[in-house]
Amino acid sequence: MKYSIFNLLRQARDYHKNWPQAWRSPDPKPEYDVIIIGGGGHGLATAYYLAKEHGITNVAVLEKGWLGGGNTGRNTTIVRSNYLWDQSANLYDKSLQLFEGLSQDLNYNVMFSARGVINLAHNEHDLKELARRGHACRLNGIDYELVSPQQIKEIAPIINISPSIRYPVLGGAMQRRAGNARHDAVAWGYARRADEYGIDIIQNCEVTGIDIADGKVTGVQTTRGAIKAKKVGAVVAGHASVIGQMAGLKLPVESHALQAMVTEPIKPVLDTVLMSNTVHVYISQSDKGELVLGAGIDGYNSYGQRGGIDVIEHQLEGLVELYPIVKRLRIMRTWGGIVDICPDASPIISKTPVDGFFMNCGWGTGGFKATPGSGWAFAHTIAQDRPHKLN
Amino acid sequence: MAAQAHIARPDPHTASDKEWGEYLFMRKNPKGVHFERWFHANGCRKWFHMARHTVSHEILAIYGITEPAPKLDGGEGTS
Repeated sequence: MKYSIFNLLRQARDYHKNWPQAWRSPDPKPEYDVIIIGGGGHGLATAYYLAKEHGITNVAVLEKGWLGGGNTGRNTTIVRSNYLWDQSANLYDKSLQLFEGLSQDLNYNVMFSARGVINLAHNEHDLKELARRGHACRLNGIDYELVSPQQIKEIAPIINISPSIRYPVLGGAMQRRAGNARHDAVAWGYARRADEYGIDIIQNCEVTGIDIADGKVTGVQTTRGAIKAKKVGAVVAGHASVIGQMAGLKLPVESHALQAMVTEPIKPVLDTVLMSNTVHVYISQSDKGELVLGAGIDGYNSYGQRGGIDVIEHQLEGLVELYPIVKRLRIMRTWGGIVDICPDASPIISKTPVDGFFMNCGWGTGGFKATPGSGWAFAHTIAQDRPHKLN
Repeated sequence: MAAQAHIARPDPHTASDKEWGEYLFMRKNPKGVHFERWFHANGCRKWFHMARHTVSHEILAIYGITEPAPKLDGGEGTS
Protein backbone atom coordinates (compact mmCIF):
# COMPACT_ATOMS: atom_id res chain seq x y z
CA MET A 1 0.00 0.00 0.00
CA LYS A 2 1.25 3.46 -0.90
CA TYR A 3 1.55 5.68 2.15
CA SER A 4 -0.31 8.92 1.44
CA ILE A 5 -2.61 11.42 3.12
CA PHE A 6 -5.60 9.75 1.42
CA ASN A 7 -4.70 6.28 2.68
CA LEU A 8 -4.04 7.77 6.12
CA LEU A 9 -7.54 9.28 6.17
CA ARG A 10 -9.07 6.04 4.85
CA GLN A 11 -7.32 4.00 7.55
CA ALA A 12 -8.26 6.55 10.22
CA ARG A 13 -11.90 6.13 9.22
CA ASP A 14 -11.49 2.38 9.96
CA TYR A 15 -9.80 3.09 13.31
CA HIS A 16 -6.39 2.04 11.87
CA LYS A 17 -7.39 -1.62 11.99
CA ASN A 18 -6.62 -2.47 8.36
CA TRP A 19 -3.03 -1.31 7.81
CA PRO A 20 -1.20 -4.11 5.97
CA GLN A 21 2.09 -5.48 7.33
CA ALA A 22 5.02 -3.39 6.12
CA TRP A 23 6.98 -6.51 5.17
CA ARG A 24 6.50 -10.28 5.25
CA SER A 25 8.34 -12.72 7.53
CA PRO A 26 8.97 -15.54 5.06
CA ASP A 27 10.75 -18.83 5.65
CA PRO A 28 14.05 -19.08 3.78
CA LYS A 29 13.90 -20.60 0.29
CA PRO A 30 16.48 -23.31 -0.52
CA GLU A 31 18.37 -21.06 -2.94
CA TYR A 32 18.81 -17.38 -3.87
CA ASP A 33 20.79 -15.44 -6.46
CA VAL A 34 22.18 -13.17 -3.75
CA ILE A 35 22.26 -13.46 0.03
CA ILE A 36 22.98 -10.38 2.10
CA ILE A 37 24.26 -11.13 5.60
CA GLY A 38 23.15 -8.41 8.00
CA GLY A 39 19.72 -6.78 8.23
CA GLY A 40 20.86 -3.38 9.36
CA GLY A 41 20.43 -0.23 7.32
CA HIS A 42 23.39 -1.04 5.05
CA GLY A 43 22.22 -4.59 4.28
CA LEU A 44 18.62 -3.53 3.62
CA ALA A 45 19.78 -0.64 1.44
CA THR A 46 21.99 -3.06 -0.50
CA ALA A 47 19.00 -5.33 -1.12
CA TYR A 48 16.82 -2.41 -2.21
CA TYR A 49 19.39 -1.05 -4.68
CA LEU A 50 20.07 -4.58 -6.03
CA ALA A 51 16.40 -4.68 -7.00
CA LYS A 52 15.94 -1.05 -8.03
CA GLU A 53 19.20 -0.35 -9.89
CA HIS A 54 20.17 -3.83 -11.09
CA GLY A 55 16.90 -5.77 -11.39
CA ILE A 56 18.07 -8.54 -9.05
CA THR A 57 15.13 -9.56 -6.85
CA ASN A 58 15.82 -13.20 -5.96
CA VAL A 59 17.55 -11.96 -2.83
CA ALA A 60 17.46 -12.77 0.89
CA VAL A 61 18.59 -10.55 3.73
CA LEU A 62 19.61 -12.65 6.76
CA GLU A 63 19.51 -10.97 10.16
CA LYS A 64 20.52 -12.75 13.38
CA GLY A 65 18.35 -10.51 15.58
CA TRP A 66 15.75 -7.99 14.47
CA LEU A 67 15.89 -5.34 11.73
CA GLY A 68 17.99 -2.36 12.67
CA GLY A 69 18.63 -3.76 16.16
CA GLY A 70 22.37 -3.29 15.90
CA ASN A 71 24.21 -0.09 15.12
CA THR A 72 21.36 1.21 12.91
CA GLY A 73 19.31 1.75 16.07
CA ARG A 74 22.23 2.74 18.29
CA ASN A 75 23.84 5.71 16.56
CA THR A 76 23.27 9.44 17.08
CA THR A 77 21.53 9.82 13.66
CA ILE A 78 23.93 12.41 12.23
CA VAL A 79 24.21 12.69 8.43
CA ARG A 80 27.02 14.75 6.83
CA SER A 81 29.57 14.56 4.02
CA ASN A 82 32.28 17.07 5.05
CA TYR A 83 35.22 14.74 4.53
CA LEU A 84 38.79 15.73 3.66
CA TRP A 85 39.85 13.05 1.19
CA ASP A 86 38.28 12.90 -2.28
CA GLN A 87 37.41 9.20 -1.95
CA SER A 88 35.54 9.72 1.32
CA ALA A 89 33.94 13.01 0.26
CA ASN A 90 32.54 11.56 -2.97
CA LEU A 91 31.12 8.43 -1.32
CA TYR A 92 29.60 10.24 1.68
CA ASP A 93 28.19 13.00 -0.52
CA LYS A 94 26.54 10.39 -2.77
CA SER A 95 24.96 9.13 0.44
CA LEU A 96 23.84 12.62 1.50
CA GLN A 97 22.34 13.21 -1.96
CA LEU A 98 20.39 9.95 -1.65
CA PHE A 99 19.24 11.02 1.83
CA GLU A 100 17.88 14.27 0.38
CA GLY A 101 15.35 12.39 -1.77
CA LEU A 102 15.02 9.26 0.33
CA SER A 103 11.57 9.84 1.86
CA GLN A 104 10.05 10.26 -1.63
CA ASP A 105 12.09 7.41 -3.13
CA LEU A 106 11.05 4.97 -0.39
CA ASN A 107 7.54 6.39 0.14
CA TYR A 108 8.50 6.33 3.83
CA ASN A 109 9.20 9.34 5.99
CA VAL A 110 12.81 8.97 7.14
CA MET A 111 12.55 12.44 8.73
CA PHE A 112 15.74 13.69 7.11
CA SER A 113 16.28 17.17 8.50
CA ALA A 114 18.99 19.35 6.93
CA ARG A 115 19.45 21.33 10.12
CA GLY A 116 23.19 21.79 9.60
CA VAL A 117 26.20 20.32 11.37
CA ILE A 118 28.88 22.47 13.01
CA ASN A 119 32.31 21.07 13.83
CA LEU A 120 33.94 23.01 16.66
CA ALA A 121 37.61 24.01 16.85
CA HIS A 122 39.17 24.07 20.32
CA ASN A 123 42.79 24.88 19.47
CA GLU A 124 44.90 26.41 16.71
CA HIS A 125 45.43 23.07 15.05
CA ASP A 126 41.68 22.39 14.92
CA LEU A 127 41.15 25.78 13.25
CA LYS A 128 43.77 25.07 10.59
CA GLU A 129 42.47 21.55 10.03
CA LEU A 130 38.90 22.82 9.57
CA ALA A 131 40.09 25.51 7.14
CA ARG A 132 41.95 22.89 5.12
CA ARG A 133 38.99 20.52 5.19
CA GLY A 134 36.68 23.36 4.16
CA HIS A 135 38.81 24.13 1.11
CA ALA A 136 39.01 20.44 0.18
CA CYS A 137 35.23 20.04 0.52
CA ARG A 138 34.46 23.06 -1.64
CA LEU A 139 36.83 21.72 -4.34
CA ASN A 140 34.65 18.60 -4.31
CA GLY A 141 31.47 20.68 -4.57
CA ILE A 142 30.49 20.10 -0.94
CA ASP A 143 29.32 23.08 1.11
CA TYR A 144 31.45 23.68 4.21
CA GLU A 145 31.96 27.18 5.53
CA LEU A 146 34.01 28.53 8.42
CA VAL A 147 32.03 30.18 11.22
CA SER A 148 33.24 32.39 14.08
CA PRO A 149 32.45 31.78 17.77
CA GLN A 150 29.94 34.66 17.63
CA GLN A 151 28.16 33.13 14.63
CA ILE A 152 28.05 29.76 16.42
CA LYS A 153 26.58 31.47 19.50
CA GLU A 154 23.86 33.02 17.34
CA ILE A 155 22.99 29.66 15.77
CA ALA A 156 23.21 27.73 19.05
CA PRO A 157 22.69 30.06 22.02
CA ILE A 158 23.20 27.30 24.60
CA ILE A 159 26.92 27.07 23.79
CA ASN A 160 29.50 28.58 26.13
CA ILE A 161 32.04 30.55 24.05
CA SER A 162 33.93 31.95 27.04
CA PRO A 163 37.68 32.03 26.26
CA SER A 164 38.50 30.89 29.79
CA ILE A 165 37.14 27.32 29.67
CA ARG A 166 39.51 24.36 29.36
CA TYR A 167 38.73 23.76 25.66
CA PRO A 168 37.44 27.13 24.43
CA VAL A 169 35.47 27.45 21.19
CA LEU A 170 37.86 29.23 18.83
CA GLY A 171 35.69 28.77 15.76
CA GLY A 172 34.09 26.09 13.69
CA ALA A 173 32.91 24.97 10.29
CA MET A 174 29.36 24.33 9.21
CA GLN A 175 27.85 22.09 6.57
CA ARG A 176 24.33 23.44 6.11
CA ARG A 177 23.11 20.53 3.93
CA ALA A 178 24.00 18.10 6.72
CA GLY A 179 21.67 17.21 9.58
CA ASN A 180 20.06 14.10 10.89
CA ALA A 181 17.43 11.48 10.07
CA ARG A 182 15.29 9.00 11.98
CA HIS A 183 17.58 5.96 12.04
CA ASP A 184 14.93 3.27 12.55
CA ALA A 185 12.82 4.71 9.74
CA VAL A 186 15.76 4.35 7.34
CA ALA A 187 15.96 0.61 8.05
CA TRP A 188 12.18 0.16 7.97
CA GLY A 189 11.75 2.20 4.79
CA TYR A 190 14.38 0.15 2.95
CA ALA A 191 12.93 -3.09 4.32
CA ARG A 192 9.41 -2.24 3.17
CA ARG A 193 10.48 -1.32 -0.36
CA ALA A 194 12.84 -4.30 -0.69
CA ASP A 195 9.96 -6.54 0.40
CA GLU A 196 7.72 -4.98 -2.28
CA TYR A 197 10.29 -6.11 -4.86
CA GLY A 198 9.87 -9.68 -3.54
CA ILE A 199 13.08 -9.76 -1.51
CA ASP A 200 12.91 -12.09 1.50
CA ILE A 201 13.87 -10.46 4.81
CA ILE A 202 14.57 -13.24 7.28
CA GLN A 203 15.02 -12.28 10.92
CA ASN A 204 16.26 -14.47 13.79
CA CYS A 205 18.50 -16.23 11.28
CA GLU A 206 22.16 -16.21 12.28
CA VAL A 207 24.82 -17.20 9.77
CA THR A 208 27.11 -19.83 11.27
CA GLY A 209 29.25 -20.72 8.27
CA ILE A 210 30.07 -19.80 4.67
CA ASP A 211 30.05 -22.70 2.18
CA ILE A 212 32.92 -22.51 -0.28
CA ALA A 213 33.79 -25.02 -3.02
CA ASP A 214 36.82 -24.62 -5.33
CA GLY A 215 37.35 -21.03 -4.18
CA LYS A 216 33.77 -20.10 -5.00
CA VAL A 217 30.97 -19.36 -2.57
CA THR A 218 28.02 -21.78 -2.80
CA GLY A 219 25.84 -20.73 0.12
CA VAL A 220 25.66 -20.21 3.86
CA GLN A 221 24.93 -22.28 6.97
CA THR A 222 22.44 -20.67 9.32
CA THR A 223 20.52 -21.37 12.50
CA ARG A 224 17.54 -22.01 10.18
CA GLY A 225 19.38 -24.46 7.95
CA ALA A 226 21.62 -24.32 4.90
CA ILE A 227 20.75 -21.84 2.13
CA LYS A 228 22.37 -21.94 -1.30
CA ALA A 229 23.39 -18.76 -3.10
CA LYS A 230 25.33 -17.71 -6.20
CA LYS A 231 26.66 -14.62 -4.45
CA VAL A 232 26.95 -13.63 -0.80
CA GLY A 233 27.54 -10.12 0.52
CA ALA A 234 28.32 -9.47 4.18
CA VAL A 235 27.76 -6.12 5.85
CA VAL A 236 27.77 -6.84 9.55
CA ALA A 237 29.64 -3.94 11.24
CA GLY A 238 31.28 -5.14 14.48
CA HIS A 239 31.07 -8.80 13.46
CA ALA A 240 33.00 -8.35 10.19
CA SER A 241 35.98 -10.30 11.57
CA VAL A 242 33.72 -13.16 12.68
CA ILE A 243 32.03 -13.52 9.27
CA GLY A 244 35.36 -12.88 7.51
CA GLN A 245 36.94 -15.74 9.44
CA MET A 246 34.17 -18.08 8.25
CA ALA A 247 35.30 -17.33 4.69
CA GLY A 248 38.98 -17.63 5.62
CA LEU A 249 39.61 -13.89 5.40
CA LYS A 250 41.77 -11.78 7.71
CA LEU A 251 40.48 -8.21 7.88
CA PRO A 252 42.28 -5.07 9.10
CA VAL A 253 39.49 -4.19 11.53
CA GLU A 254 39.12 -4.25 15.30
CA SER A 255 35.76 -4.24 17.10
CA HIS A 256 35.15 -1.62 19.77
CA ALA A 257 32.16 -0.41 21.76
CA LEU A 258 30.87 3.05 20.84
CA GLN A 259 28.52 4.63 23.35
CA ALA A 260 25.72 7.15 23.14
CA MET A 261 23.09 8.45 25.53
CA VAL A 262 20.05 10.71 25.84
CA THR A 263 18.93 13.15 28.51
CA GLU A 264 15.39 13.58 29.71
CA PRO A 265 13.29 15.51 27.16
CA ILE A 266 13.24 19.32 27.41
CA LYS A 267 11.75 22.16 25.35
CA PRO A 268 13.53 22.97 22.06
CA VAL A 269 16.94 24.51 22.76
CA LEU A 270 19.03 23.36 19.81
CA ASP A 271 18.06 23.19 16.13
CA THR A 272 21.40 22.14 14.71
CA VAL A 273 24.04 19.47 15.35
CA LEU A 274 27.28 20.33 17.16
CA MET A 275 30.34 18.11 17.06
CA SER A 276 33.63 18.39 18.96
CA ASN A 277 36.08 15.76 17.81
CA THR A 278 38.80 17.09 20.12
CA VAL A 279 36.82 16.41 23.30
CA HIS A 280 34.47 13.75 21.82
CA VAL A 281 31.23 15.59 22.51
CA TYR A 282 28.44 15.27 19.94
CA ILE A 283 25.06 16.85 20.63
CA SER A 284 21.72 17.32 18.88
CA GLN A 285 18.12 17.45 20.04
CA SER A 286 15.60 14.84 18.97
CA ASP A 287 12.03 15.70 17.99
CA LYS A 288 10.94 14.28 21.34
CA GLY A 289 13.15 16.85 23.07
CA GLU A 290 15.87 14.58 24.38
CA LEU A 291 19.43 15.79 23.92
CA VAL A 292 21.18 13.03 21.98
CA LEU A 293 24.81 12.71 23.03
CA GLY A 294 27.59 10.71 21.45
CA ALA A 295 30.94 9.72 22.95
CA GLY A 296 34.19 8.33 21.59
CA ILE A 297 35.01 4.63 21.37
CA ASP A 298 36.04 2.57 24.37
CA GLY A 299 39.78 1.88 24.27
CA TYR A 300 39.70 -1.92 24.11
CA ASN A 301 38.27 -4.63 21.85
CA SER A 302 34.72 -5.66 22.65
CA TYR A 303 31.76 -7.55 21.23
CA GLY A 304 29.70 -6.82 24.34
CA GLN A 305 27.41 -3.99 23.06
CA ARG A 306 28.13 -1.98 26.20
CA GLY A 307 30.96 0.28 27.31
CA GLY A 308 32.70 1.63 30.37
CA ILE A 309 31.41 4.42 32.60
CA ASP A 310 34.75 6.29 32.28
CA VAL A 311 33.97 7.10 28.63
CA ILE A 312 30.57 8.51 29.59
CA GLU A 313 32.13 10.54 32.41
CA HIS A 314 34.76 11.95 30.05
CA GLN A 315 32.09 12.90 27.52
CA LEU A 316 29.90 14.56 30.15
CA GLU A 317 32.84 16.58 31.54
CA GLY A 318 33.26 18.25 28.16
CA LEU A 319 29.52 18.54 27.67
CA VAL A 320 28.71 20.47 30.85
CA GLU A 321 31.52 22.93 30.21
CA LEU A 322 30.49 23.59 26.61
CA TYR A 323 26.71 23.56 27.28
CA PRO A 324 26.20 24.61 30.93
CA ILE A 325 22.38 24.37 30.78
CA VAL A 326 22.60 20.57 30.68
CA LYS A 327 24.21 20.45 34.13
CA ARG A 328 21.06 19.51 36.02
CA LEU A 329 19.48 17.27 33.38
CA ARG A 330 19.25 13.57 34.05
CA ILE A 331 20.69 11.02 31.66
CA MET A 332 17.80 8.74 30.74
CA ARG A 333 19.58 5.95 28.90
CA THR A 334 23.07 4.99 27.79
CA TRP A 335 23.87 2.20 25.36
CA GLY A 336 26.66 0.85 23.19
CA GLY A 337 27.08 -0.59 19.72
CA ILE A 338 30.00 -2.57 18.32
CA VAL A 339 31.82 -0.78 15.51
CA ASP A 340 34.55 -2.14 13.21
CA ILE A 341 37.51 0.23 13.24
CA CYS A 342 40.01 0.30 10.35
CA PRO A 343 43.57 1.64 10.81
CA ASP A 344 42.76 4.46 8.33
CA ALA A 345 39.15 4.92 9.52
CA SER A 346 37.98 4.37 5.93
CA PRO A 347 35.50 1.71 4.87
CA ILE A 348 36.11 -1.31 2.64
CA ILE A 349 33.51 -2.20 -0.03
CA SER A 350 35.13 -4.98 -1.96
CA LYS A 351 35.36 -8.27 -3.75
CA THR A 352 37.35 -10.88 -1.82
CA PRO A 353 39.70 -13.74 -2.76
CA VAL A 354 36.60 -16.00 -2.51
CA ASP A 355 34.74 -15.83 -5.82
CA GLY A 356 31.20 -14.52 -5.32
CA PHE A 357 31.80 -13.40 -1.73
CA PHE A 358 31.79 -9.67 -1.02
CA MET A 359 32.59 -7.66 2.10
CA ASN A 360 31.41 -4.23 3.17
CA CYS A 361 33.03 -3.27 6.47
CA GLY A 362 35.21 -0.83 8.36
CA TRP A 363 32.61 1.93 8.71
CA GLY A 364 33.78 2.41 12.26
CA THR A 365 32.07 5.26 14.06
CA GLY A 366 30.52 6.81 10.93
CA GLY A 367 28.27 4.19 9.40
CA PHE A 368 24.76 5.59 9.72
CA LYS A 369 25.29 8.63 7.49
CA ALA A 370 26.62 6.31 4.80
CA THR A 371 23.66 3.92 4.79
CA PRO A 372 22.20 4.84 1.36
CA GLY A 373 25.58 5.36 -0.35
CA SER A 374 27.06 2.19 1.13
CA GLY A 375 24.09 0.11 -0.03
CA TRP A 376 24.12 1.77 -3.44
CA ALA A 377 27.84 1.11 -4.02
CA PHE A 378 27.75 -2.40 -2.51
CA ALA A 379 24.78 -3.37 -4.70
CA HIS A 380 26.79 -2.24 -7.74
CA THR A 381 29.85 -4.22 -6.58
CA ILE A 382 27.79 -7.40 -6.10
CA ALA A 383 25.69 -7.06 -9.27
CA GLN A 384 28.56 -6.11 -11.63
CA ASP A 385 31.20 -8.22 -9.87
CA ARG A 386 33.53 -5.23 -9.73
CA PRO A 387 33.85 -2.17 -7.50
CA HIS A 388 32.13 1.08 -8.48
CA LYS A 389 34.51 4.00 -8.83
CA LEU A 390 32.98 5.47 -5.67
CA ASN A 391 34.00 2.43 -3.55
CA MET B 1 43.90 1.68 26.78
CA ALA B 2 44.64 -1.73 25.39
CA ALA B 3 45.71 -3.49 22.22
CA GLN B 4 46.84 -6.92 21.10
CA ALA B 5 49.86 -8.31 22.98
CA HIS B 6 52.68 -10.63 21.90
CA ILE B 7 53.34 -8.91 18.56
CA ALA B 8 56.86 -9.67 17.35
CA ARG B 9 58.47 -6.78 15.47
CA PRO B 10 60.03 -8.00 12.23
CA ASP B 11 63.49 -6.77 11.23
CA PRO B 12 62.74 -3.62 9.19
CA HIS B 13 65.82 -4.22 7.02
CA THR B 14 64.74 -7.66 5.84
CA ALA B 15 60.94 -7.65 6.21
CA SER B 16 58.93 -7.47 2.99
CA ASP B 17 56.34 -4.72 2.55
CA LYS B 18 53.63 -7.31 3.14
CA GLU B 19 55.22 -8.50 6.40
CA TRP B 20 55.70 -4.90 7.55
CA GLY B 21 52.10 -4.01 6.65
CA GLU B 22 50.83 -7.03 8.60
CA TYR B 23 52.94 -5.98 11.58
CA LEU B 24 51.61 -2.43 11.48
CA PHE B 25 47.95 -2.93 10.66
CA MET B 26 46.69 -6.51 11.01
CA ARG B 27 45.38 -7.33 14.48
CA LYS B 28 43.54 -10.28 15.93
CA ASN B 29 39.92 -9.42 16.64
CA PRO B 30 38.55 -12.51 18.38
CA LYS B 31 35.02 -12.85 19.71
CA GLY B 32 36.23 -14.67 22.79
CA VAL B 33 39.52 -14.73 24.69
CA HIS B 34 41.91 -11.93 23.73
CA PHE B 35 45.48 -11.39 24.98
CA GLU B 36 46.15 -7.69 25.39
CA ARG B 37 48.74 -5.21 26.53
CA TRP B 38 47.20 -2.65 28.87
CA PHE B 39 48.37 0.69 30.24
CA HIS B 40 46.83 1.77 33.55
CA ALA B 41 46.56 5.43 32.52
CA ASN B 42 44.35 6.65 35.39
CA GLY B 43 46.16 4.77 38.16
CA CYS B 44 49.62 3.33 38.71
CA ARG B 45 50.70 3.97 35.08
CA LYS B 46 51.96 0.41 34.84
CA TRP B 47 52.12 -1.63 31.61
CA PHE B 48 50.84 -5.19 31.94
CA HIS B 49 49.25 -8.06 29.99
CA MET B 50 45.70 -9.28 30.39
CA ALA B 51 43.75 -12.24 29.04
CA ARG B 52 40.17 -11.09 28.70
CA HIS B 53 36.92 -12.30 27.16
CA THR B 54 35.67 -9.76 24.59
CA VAL B 55 31.96 -10.55 25.06
CA SER B 56 31.65 -10.95 28.84
CA HIS B 57 34.66 -8.65 29.55
CA GLU B 58 35.71 -11.24 32.17
CA ILE B 59 39.38 -10.95 33.16
CA LEU B 60 40.95 -14.39 32.97
CA ALA B 61 44.62 -13.71 33.73
CA ILE B 62 47.02 -10.86 34.49
CA TYR B 63 50.72 -11.31 33.77
CA GLY B 64 53.91 -9.38 33.08
CA ILE B 65 54.75 -7.99 29.66
CA THR B 66 57.79 -10.26 29.27
CA GLU B 67 55.91 -13.44 30.17
CA PRO B 68 54.40 -15.83 27.58
CA ALA B 69 50.64 -16.09 27.21
CA PRO B 70 49.18 -18.44 29.83
CA LYS B 71 47.26 -21.56 28.88
CA LEU B 72 43.61 -21.10 29.75
CA ASP B 73 40.68 -23.49 29.97
CA GLY B 74 38.48 -23.11 26.93
CA GLY B 75 40.85 -21.12 24.79
CA GLU B 76 44.34 -19.82 24.34
CA GLY B 77 46.00 -17.16 22.24
CA THR B 78 45.18 -18.69 18.89
CA SER B 79 42.10 -17.00 17.47
